[in-house]
Amino acid sequence: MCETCGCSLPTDNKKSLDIDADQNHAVIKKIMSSNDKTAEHNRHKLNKHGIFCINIMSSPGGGKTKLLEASIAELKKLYRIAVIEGDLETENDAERIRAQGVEAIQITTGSACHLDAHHVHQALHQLNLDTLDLIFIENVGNLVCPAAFDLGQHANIALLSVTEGDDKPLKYPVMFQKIHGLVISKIELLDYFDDFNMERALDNFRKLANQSPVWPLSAKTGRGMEAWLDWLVDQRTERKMLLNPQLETSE
Amino acid sequence: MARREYVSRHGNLPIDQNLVVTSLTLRLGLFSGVDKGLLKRAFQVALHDFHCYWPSTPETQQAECDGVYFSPTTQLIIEQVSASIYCRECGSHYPVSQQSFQRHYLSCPNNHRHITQLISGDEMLLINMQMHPESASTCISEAFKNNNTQEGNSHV
Repeated sequence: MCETCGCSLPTDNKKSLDIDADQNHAVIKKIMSSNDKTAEHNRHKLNKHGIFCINIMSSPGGGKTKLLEASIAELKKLYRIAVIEGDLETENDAERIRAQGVEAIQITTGSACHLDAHHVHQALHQLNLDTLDLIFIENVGNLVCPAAFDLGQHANIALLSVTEGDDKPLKYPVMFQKIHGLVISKIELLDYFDDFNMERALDNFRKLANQSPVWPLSAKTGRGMEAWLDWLVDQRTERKMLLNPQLETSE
Repeated sequence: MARREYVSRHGNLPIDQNLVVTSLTLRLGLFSGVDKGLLKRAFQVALHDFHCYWPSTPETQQAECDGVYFSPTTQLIIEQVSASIYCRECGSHYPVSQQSFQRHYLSCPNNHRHITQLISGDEMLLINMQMHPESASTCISEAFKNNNTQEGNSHV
């Protein structure tokens, strides 16, 4: 039998498939509404606890975990931090983060190539939000799908490593259009990858109507890390004041 | 959702009637990140599996479908809409089609150094559902219930 064309259906039923204008039902329904609703719920929860949450995305091997290790080493003096790690398999990244002395929740997605709001919701339940100031979400290494899913974060950051080439933004426009800041990682390798042109990378990023800050840095040598960390601190302070103005003025 | 839409338009839907969906229309923006061809193929797979496995496997036997079924010939119509940008320096809006994106990306068509912002283009909406009620006893779902215990799975 042919399942898709309906040729084996009894004739009575076939007749009822005739197109009828009366059968049209105009609706406007966001296809992502189930994810978006959970994302809003997550954001509300984070706001209630005064937590600033950042979603970090890049290709596999773009340097997300390394950037987190280096950032946490500096920021843990200021903030109480946790990391939500998304990977298809293994706890490796979470263990690297735990070695920094902060809590890490590993989400293994199995075959899913991105995190969605439901994953993050489950992870938030495993954390004691009263004891946190900052949450990093390290998304699954992928420049395509993660762009389509709101997780409840306050800012999206992408990494572009110099080994990937300066045309990456134009190759993955949906991702690079959406982000609130771009880290150009592994600049210690610029000497060896001389076909990566920083100016061209920046120009390609701006062609996507994105005026967000760009931080060329090396998490390995620490070069350029300061500007990125300053931005994080500023954003977190701004968010905190927005959520709880009295608290900030009395501090 | 389908039931709610039906009732809001036609008043009521008797308890012994199922709803059969025959067509869905989606509106996708250029920047939705969804590929039309892939989505159409995925929809065929989902439709196939719905008819092949839904009513007959033990796991799905108990599952709620709220009396809403998809016709085996359900059409997926995809309306693609272009994006639009605003150029702060020109002070005007420009549409961005697939072709113009390949030329200028999201920069101003007059000068790529101008500062622009994306105004629309990430829509992912369901805008029309074609459906009709059928008596639960003669419903299309009954028609395939007995026929589809086969394990044929053409897409795997």
